[in-house]
Amino acid sequence: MPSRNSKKKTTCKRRKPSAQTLIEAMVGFIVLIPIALFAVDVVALMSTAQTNEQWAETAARAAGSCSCETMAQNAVKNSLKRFVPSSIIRSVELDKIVFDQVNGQVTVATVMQINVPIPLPWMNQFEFRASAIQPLLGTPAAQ
Amino acid sequence: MSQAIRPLKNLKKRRSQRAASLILVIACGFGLMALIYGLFSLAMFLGGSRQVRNAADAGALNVSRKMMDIRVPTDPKYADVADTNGKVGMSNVNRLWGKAYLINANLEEMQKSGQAGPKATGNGDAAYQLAQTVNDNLYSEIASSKTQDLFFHQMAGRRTANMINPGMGIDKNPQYTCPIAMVDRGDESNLIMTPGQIPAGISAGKVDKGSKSYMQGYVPMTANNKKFTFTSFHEGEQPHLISDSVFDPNRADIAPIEGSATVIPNAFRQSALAGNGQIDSTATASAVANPIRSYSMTIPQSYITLYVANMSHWLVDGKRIKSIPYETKADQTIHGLVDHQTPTRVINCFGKLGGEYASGRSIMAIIKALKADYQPAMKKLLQRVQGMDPSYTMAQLTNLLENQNYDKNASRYYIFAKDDSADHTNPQIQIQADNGSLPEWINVRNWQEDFDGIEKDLITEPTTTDEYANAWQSPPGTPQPTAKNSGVMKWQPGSGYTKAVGNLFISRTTTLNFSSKP
Repeated sequence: MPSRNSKKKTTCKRRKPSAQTLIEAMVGFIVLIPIALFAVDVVALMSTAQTNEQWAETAARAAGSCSCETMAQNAVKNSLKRFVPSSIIRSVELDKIVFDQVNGQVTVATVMQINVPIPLPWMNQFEFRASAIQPLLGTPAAQ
Repeated sequence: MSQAIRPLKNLKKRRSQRAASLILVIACGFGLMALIYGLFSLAMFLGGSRQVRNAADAGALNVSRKMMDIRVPTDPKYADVADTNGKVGMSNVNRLWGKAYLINANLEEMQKSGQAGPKATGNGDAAYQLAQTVNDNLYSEIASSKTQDLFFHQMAGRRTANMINPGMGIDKNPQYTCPIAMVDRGDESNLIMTPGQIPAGISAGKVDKGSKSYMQGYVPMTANNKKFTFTSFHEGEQPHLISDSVFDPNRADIAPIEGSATVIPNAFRQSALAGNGQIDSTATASAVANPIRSYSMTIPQSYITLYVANMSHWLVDGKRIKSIPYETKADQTIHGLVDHQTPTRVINCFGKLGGEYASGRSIMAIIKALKADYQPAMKKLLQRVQGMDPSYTMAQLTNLLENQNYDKNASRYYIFAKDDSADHTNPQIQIQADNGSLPEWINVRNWQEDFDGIEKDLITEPTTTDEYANAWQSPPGTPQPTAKNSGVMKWQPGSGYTKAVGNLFISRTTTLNFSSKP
């Protein structure tokens, strides 16, 4: 008998830790999964921010090779046309262009619309702005 | 004993099982956080490196572009090849050297033909030395790290590497001395030329591109024992980035141009640095400059003089009695010897002169008058005119001379380039008599002082008898009077250092021989 009792007790003891582990793991995942998902969003945001900077840089270089503001605007638009929208980056557009012939430089600002891959409860759309400055290379040297 | 131990064992087991998941979850949490932080830091560093790289690129491009704004004053002798402010920079330094080269090429030809005057050597040396001084002044500005730093900071200094160090700007890498390079060696410079403007016997390196010819860049060429090196600038290109594999083999310190220590470079390398005290990120970029402007190789303010002298010599029995000049026009009847007393009698001698000019009074007709091969004279004229405007053709020159009648009141004619543009880049070839309003830079009064060459016969025209002139006398003599025409075209070269590049002197002589014998 005692041996039977003791067997029952052991069975009960064996079940309890399993459930506890499950519960602990679930609680843990409840904490970890949002962190991991948030991390995915952060990585996506960082990556797109850098992509936006690179698009601004590319657009500024295109503008820098032009000799007048109208041509520069067209060059920027043409360079941004090469952007292919994705589920994360919806669009990249020209925000502002400052064609400074006096100082021989052009500043191009772009704005990028982003959907985070894991929508956050309070927001899932972001807007990034980046600007780049480049020398004007398309204007001939002074006579 | 075994029963007493068992509960203790169970207790231990229970504790460890409970903690296992929690610890595992916490460990995973920390691991995940560490991984996220690591990725975040890596992304920040890579992003920051990209920012530094972009800054270096923009800085190098700005240096290569803004170098065109560096200008130094030039010598008055080279004011006609300077910019609108009378200065020389990277964009027009080839123009300066082009003029110096043409002067020395003209001098070399003068020496080879034995026509170099006493001033020639000094003028060649002065032309070269003045150009070298201007070039060296420009070089010291361009090669200066101070200048390069200024232009680098204008662009890179306005950027930040906020992914490495928020708020901190990008600096110049202090460990990097600004190397300069001469890339595109053997390619074209921004100096357009025409082979015809180079004097005969002088070889100039040229590059043909499309319908144009350019002086070759970074290949030293010799004229008058002096080395000339032009800076390469590709036609139709903008300043752009180049790779290290292009820059390094052409660095000024590794592969200098032979005999030209201060040749103007066309490529610049810049290095950017950003750090946060723990990590430094550096990037280098090289860019090649281009003024996007080309010039013609010219001596813009130079001129050719041209004049004609007709002389009649009046002889009796082969002995010259009198010389009388005659006009450059046909059918001039001159009573040359009036009641001339010979040992046997008194005679009156007449001549009808100027028949060689019957075909017209234009300068072209005058050149062609005696039906000699006048092409050597035209070639000399064209070579010098192309020194003012390389695009000028023989047909244009012929047309110019055909449309200008010779005015008997003019001492000489000047062929020069009229240029109303501020930087003398729009030459219009003109011919004008010295009794008109010539440009003030032409020394009309003492024109001969501008020549550093010696006059020499260029074309000896064939002698004709009674073809272009007639002689008669009263009373008649035996043998019959004769009239012989001859001529010579003389060429006095000028190097162009003192503006004169050539003088074509056409001397026509009519010799009339009369007889004292009845």
